[in-house]
Amino acid sequence: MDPLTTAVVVLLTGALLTAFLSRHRLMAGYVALASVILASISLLRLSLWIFSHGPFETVVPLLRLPVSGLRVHLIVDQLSAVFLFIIVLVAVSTTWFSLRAMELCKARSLIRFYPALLLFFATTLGVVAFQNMLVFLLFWELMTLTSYLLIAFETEKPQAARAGLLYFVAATVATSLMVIATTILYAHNPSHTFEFSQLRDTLGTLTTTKPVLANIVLALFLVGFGTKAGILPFGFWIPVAYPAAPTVTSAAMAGIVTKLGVYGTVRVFLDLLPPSELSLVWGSIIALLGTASIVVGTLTALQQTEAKRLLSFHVIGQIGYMWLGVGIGVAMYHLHPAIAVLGLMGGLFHVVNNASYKSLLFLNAGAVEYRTGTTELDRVGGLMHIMPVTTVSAIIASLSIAGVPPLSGFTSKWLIFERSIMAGLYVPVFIFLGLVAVFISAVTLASFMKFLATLFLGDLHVGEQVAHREVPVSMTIPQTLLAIVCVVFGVAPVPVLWYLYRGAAEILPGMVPSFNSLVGTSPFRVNLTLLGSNSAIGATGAWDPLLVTAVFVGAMLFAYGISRLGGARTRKVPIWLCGEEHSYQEIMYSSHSFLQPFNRYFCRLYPELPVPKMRMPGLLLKLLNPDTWITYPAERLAERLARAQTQAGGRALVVYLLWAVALVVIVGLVLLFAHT
Amino acid sequence: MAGYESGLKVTQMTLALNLVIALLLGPLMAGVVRKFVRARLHSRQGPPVLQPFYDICKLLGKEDLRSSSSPIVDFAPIVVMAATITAALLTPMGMRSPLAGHGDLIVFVNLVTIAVVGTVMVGLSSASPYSLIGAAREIMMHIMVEPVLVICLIVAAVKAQSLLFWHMAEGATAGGMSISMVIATIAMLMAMQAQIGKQPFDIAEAETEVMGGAFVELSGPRLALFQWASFARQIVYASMLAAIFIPWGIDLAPPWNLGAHLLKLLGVYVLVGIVDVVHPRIRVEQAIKFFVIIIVLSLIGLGLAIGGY
Amino acid sequence: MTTQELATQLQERFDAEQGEPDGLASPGWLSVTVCSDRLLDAIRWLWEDAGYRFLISAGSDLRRERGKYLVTNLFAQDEHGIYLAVHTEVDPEQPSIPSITPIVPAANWTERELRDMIGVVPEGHPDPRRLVLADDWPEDLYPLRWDVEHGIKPPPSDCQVPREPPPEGSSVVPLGPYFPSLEEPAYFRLFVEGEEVVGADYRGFYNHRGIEKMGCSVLTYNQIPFIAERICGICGCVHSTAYCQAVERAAGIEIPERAKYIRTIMLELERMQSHLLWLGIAGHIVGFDTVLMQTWRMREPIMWLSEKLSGNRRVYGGNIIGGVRLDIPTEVHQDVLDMLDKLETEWKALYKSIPGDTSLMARLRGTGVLPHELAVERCVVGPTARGSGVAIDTRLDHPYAAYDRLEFEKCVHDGCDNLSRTLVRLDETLVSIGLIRQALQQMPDGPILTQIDEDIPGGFEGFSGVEAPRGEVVHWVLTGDENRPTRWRPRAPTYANLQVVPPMLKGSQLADAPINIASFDPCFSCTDRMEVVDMRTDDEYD
Repeated sequence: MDPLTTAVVVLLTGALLTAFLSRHRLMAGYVALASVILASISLLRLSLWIFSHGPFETVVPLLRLPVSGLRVHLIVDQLSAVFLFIIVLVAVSTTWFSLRAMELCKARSLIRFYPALLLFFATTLGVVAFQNMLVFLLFWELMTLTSYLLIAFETEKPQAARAGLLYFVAATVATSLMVIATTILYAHNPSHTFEFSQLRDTLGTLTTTKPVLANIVLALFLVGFGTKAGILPFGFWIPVAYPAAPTVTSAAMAGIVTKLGVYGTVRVFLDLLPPSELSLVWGSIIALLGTASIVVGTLTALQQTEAKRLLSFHVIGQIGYMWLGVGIGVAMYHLHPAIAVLGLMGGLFHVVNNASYKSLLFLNAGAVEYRTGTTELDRVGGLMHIMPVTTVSAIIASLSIAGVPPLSGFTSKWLIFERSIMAGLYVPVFIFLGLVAVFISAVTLASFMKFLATLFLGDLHVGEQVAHREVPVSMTIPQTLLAIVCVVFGVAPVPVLWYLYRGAAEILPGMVPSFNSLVGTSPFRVNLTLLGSNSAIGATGAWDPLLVTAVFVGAMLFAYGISRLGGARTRKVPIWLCGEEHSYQEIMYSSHSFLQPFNRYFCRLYPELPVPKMRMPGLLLKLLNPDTWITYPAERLAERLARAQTQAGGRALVVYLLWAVALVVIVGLVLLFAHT
Repeated sequence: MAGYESGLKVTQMTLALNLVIALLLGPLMAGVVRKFVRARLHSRQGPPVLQPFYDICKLLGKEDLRSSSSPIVDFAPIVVMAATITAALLTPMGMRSPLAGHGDLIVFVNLVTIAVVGTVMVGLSSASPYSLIGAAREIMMHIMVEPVLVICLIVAAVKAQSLLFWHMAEGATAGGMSISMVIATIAMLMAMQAQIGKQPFDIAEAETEVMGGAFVELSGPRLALFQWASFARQIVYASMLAAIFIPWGIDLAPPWNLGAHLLKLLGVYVLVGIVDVVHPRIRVEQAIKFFVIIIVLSLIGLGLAIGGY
Repeated sequence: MTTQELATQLQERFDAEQGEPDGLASPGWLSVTVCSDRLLDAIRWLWEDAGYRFLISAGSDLRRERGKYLVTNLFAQDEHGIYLAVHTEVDPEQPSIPSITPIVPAANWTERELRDMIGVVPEGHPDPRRLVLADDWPEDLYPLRWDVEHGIKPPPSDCQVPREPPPEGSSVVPLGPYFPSLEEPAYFRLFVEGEEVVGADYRGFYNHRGIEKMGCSVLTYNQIPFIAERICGICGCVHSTAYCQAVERAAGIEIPERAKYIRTIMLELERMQSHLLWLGIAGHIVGFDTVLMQTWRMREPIMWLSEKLSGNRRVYGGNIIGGVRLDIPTEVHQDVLDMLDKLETEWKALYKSIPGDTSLMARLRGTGVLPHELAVERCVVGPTARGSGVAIDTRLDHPYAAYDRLEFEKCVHDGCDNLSRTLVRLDETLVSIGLIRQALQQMPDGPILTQIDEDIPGGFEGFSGVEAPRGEVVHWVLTGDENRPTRWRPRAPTYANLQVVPPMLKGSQLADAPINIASFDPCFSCTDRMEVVDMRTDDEYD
């Protein structure tokens, strides 16, 4: 049996076993972890094989559909191998974390959790493994279904049920749009298959013969993948769903689902769409939407006071970076392959890094919740005194997401900025997008300073029942693992870039410059070059993490030496409050005070712009405050759906499911009859 | 890659040069400006020129009073100093910097950000309301000022079509005066005024309002490191400005290019000092509004640069 | 209205008995006694209908002389130039009077002080907390009663004065007692949300030195001017002048003309150097050290001149009952005029440069707003009031020393903000230069001190108001036997002005709090006591 099928079988077995063992929570957890680890080993072997031997092809007998005479080929190429790695990383970490973290959901039996989780991982494997659109969409929808179960796990909490329902409906609608797009392509495909290779040709023909139709298809795919990825404005479900779901779910989904949205985008716009003027247009649209996400997501996150909601808005923001990188790749391929490849690599690198640090941040929030029972930023503080490992990993993750060298987040952002500036020499708008990204980087940093400061730094202040201990080992190990990934990928980026290059080069048709000509020859240093530029040497950027870190450490030792030179003694004193006595509570500067002038200014900024003197200011304010048009309508929609569900006595969910299934069946029948 | 892989000897020389300029010339220039610009305009004699060194030495021997047991407070001064030194080694000071081929514009900006982050973390790790308010102000100023720095450097990068500093400096010399670079220089000067905390932007450390802001609970060697790092940062920014935006003299033979650079540094310091003396401190929201205008100005410069002007 | 008409009105309406006129039978002074049950009506009529401005109250322990406590409320009517004292006698067995604070909000602090120092409880006072005495001073020990010895040091008690907690969402940022932008200890407890001050609480009186007790118990008439001059480090001369004038009025002593002019010159010199000092400090607080250095440099010649004239840079020691101790001989006149010319040139250059400095304007304009109505209601004085359009100036409304012979105008600005108060002080300095020139020209020759041969008789009241750099200083004296006053009540202008600071701070930015406080030019030592003012629960004062 090939490694992929092995992995799937292991996961399915695990799902069954955990279903039986659901009463013994810890046992179920261990079984799930074991099956995930076994599956991961096999998948990692597969990935490494793919990188050295090329795409892995096989025919899967179980999935042969004799009805339409289709043979389903399982093709895993290098791009998919990259995403396999991401799935493995996130799956292992979150499952390990869940061993003890699920104690937070004591009320529910785990029968709906671990089986759903393992099935979820299995479906994600299916998504990346097949190069057949129908099968892809099938697994995509199954992924939605299993993740719905994971989100709505604690059904006794109304917001969890609502969140899950909202997510499910949004994702299913998105998938339906993609089904329509596929149908259009299928109808125009003379050989009537769903294989990617055939769809590629069809799309290529359509761009020249019926460009309007091609654009519609692309738009539908964009919306479909954007919803899953969490791009503005389609990602409105994220701030509703992630805080309401158990933290393990949020970590797993933030790490995998949103990345698969990016995967889908890359597949369609780079693999399926041949390079043409359309790619320039769509690439710019992708980059623009990405930048909009960055701005709105991060600025809204700045105002949040609850940890998981803050992280959810940052998910929207970070997805924007990935789409910016991908957008540059799509747009520039026609014009300048070197820029495109590196842009795509930057986006993919950001995907990998984001999977690690975003999941890590959610795990940190989960650890805080486990220990203190709350994730409200104002209620607890100074946790570094009792949870050192969590604090260190939170600091690493925060610095990484903010793009501080030498961590991994910095390298991927560096690539994206660098390429956006170079792309801007050809298409000026990219420079401005890159600039917006830089500006928002500072905002991200500020947001995470606030996050770290209010939760971890300062003096300890928790409720009385809270034990002064770190979280259990099963929760610290995955955090440490992800933190190590953040550090290692930052300090030694070149090997990672090589793998990403293989993934990118595989799907970009035509001549792609060699790896060495793009990133230089040194195994430690990334030297970017722009062939054909005016600069005499052609070198445009450099980043040598090892050397710079070594210099940095040397400088730190020097500074330490200086500080010890005077032989000064240390003495503990109370803080100086000008001479009168004060209690701790009254001088504690609250989190919402923190950036208040900045918040206030940017909420008042828009009305101050010289807009026509209609009643615009109020409208603009509402428009630019995502809460009013994303989250509140989303919550109201979720509310209505939930009420509809309860009114219909719980049948509404089944109804929706049936509709989705019916849609797929109808389409299949139509295709069947159209074929014959 | 050839051309900026300097020989080992040259690298050693520039290493020593950059370190000397950043660490020793920094406080010296600050002392010179304090005595000959600030005190003169105040109609008084002023402290000795070497006073910054005396202050640092004195602080190194003073008791280190700790009001917070957080380890951040141990690390932050060292990290800030290290970030500043590393940024100094990336900055061209008259000639190519020692780390010229190993880091570019974005690395520099991030190192500078680390220095700011270190200051902010120190402010946040103490429970004193003054340090928290000071840290919050520092973050807000940073959010508004860093984009200006980045945009101006990108203007130079666009003109030189490279993000490496030495190419930017050479490109600026070759390109001559252009409108976009002039605009970028002006914006950069304003940003520099704010980055090093001189009036009218001395907001984060306002002594009469928040008693020194993030630094209120620091003493002894930690305060010495922060002060020294801030002197070094001033020289780094001034060098960046001088080398890239006022690039005349970099194509001279050594040691004349070094001399030209020092002269330019002096000019920048005097200018900054004069602006510092004739302005009071403004409030943080007034500064935010002001920097929105500067950001727009630098964006105009960027647009012009892309258009080829 | 003359004092006689006023006396008749009060007699008809409230059965007020007219007291002894003071020894000089000053045209602008009236003293009446009212029963405590008619007190509120009288006060209400004075405050609401007759347009009187509240100054201060004084509590005196007259149990040895009359067997009662005496509570004196002092008012001023600026249009007619009248000072009015309304006395009420209080039975020692039941030491309480109806509180006038609900009618006159400006009386808030002074009634609390009454309770602290004499033990007379104001019934119905909205905030009857301890004001002046230290937190651990024992209850039931009232320092200004004659049976409490001066110099007593009771063991500390453990009464706690509760502090206001911050409102929801805000936290406390303490400004003081030891703070870089305060020259003297004062505790402003700011409630801050982000960068906005949402409320404040104030505790003061860290510099309470028991000066009034000293004046009543261990000092003689002629020793007091020197102590009075040390009430404040910057405006001491006004206190010694006001005290001397009050005693001279009570005892009917007429001082020589030359002495009047010398007093005027000393007062105006003091005003100039005080305003220059203030400008420097205000500059320093907004981070403009250049202003600090330059204005203090401009101030130095005044200090050298003061040293030449009196031997001291600051505390002149010039006043004594009956006249002055220092002369300003003709040889020195030219030095004075030279100094004034030089100062005027530099001052005019400074005055011109301020409106052009945009950053300075950004800090001063529109900040620290004190609305005109609030200024009138709380009876603020000095440049604080004149900066909000309240045109009162003791030198012109209730002339003293040589001011009735000099020509000048009041400096009033309408802006109600920090800039307005700055401009008032700048204008006044220029006016002072003109006043000194006029005084030097008009000064007649003659003696500078009246010889006093008899003892000063006891039981007479004397009152004097002097315009200090910060506002109106008033001293009320009740003469006694044994060559010392029975009661001496000084009131500094900051005492009145500080009560307005908390409502003014609310809603302002934290960065502006130091300059807002400084723009009132608070002299905490002068104020001599501290009061807790609740900013948040404004409704107590409405």
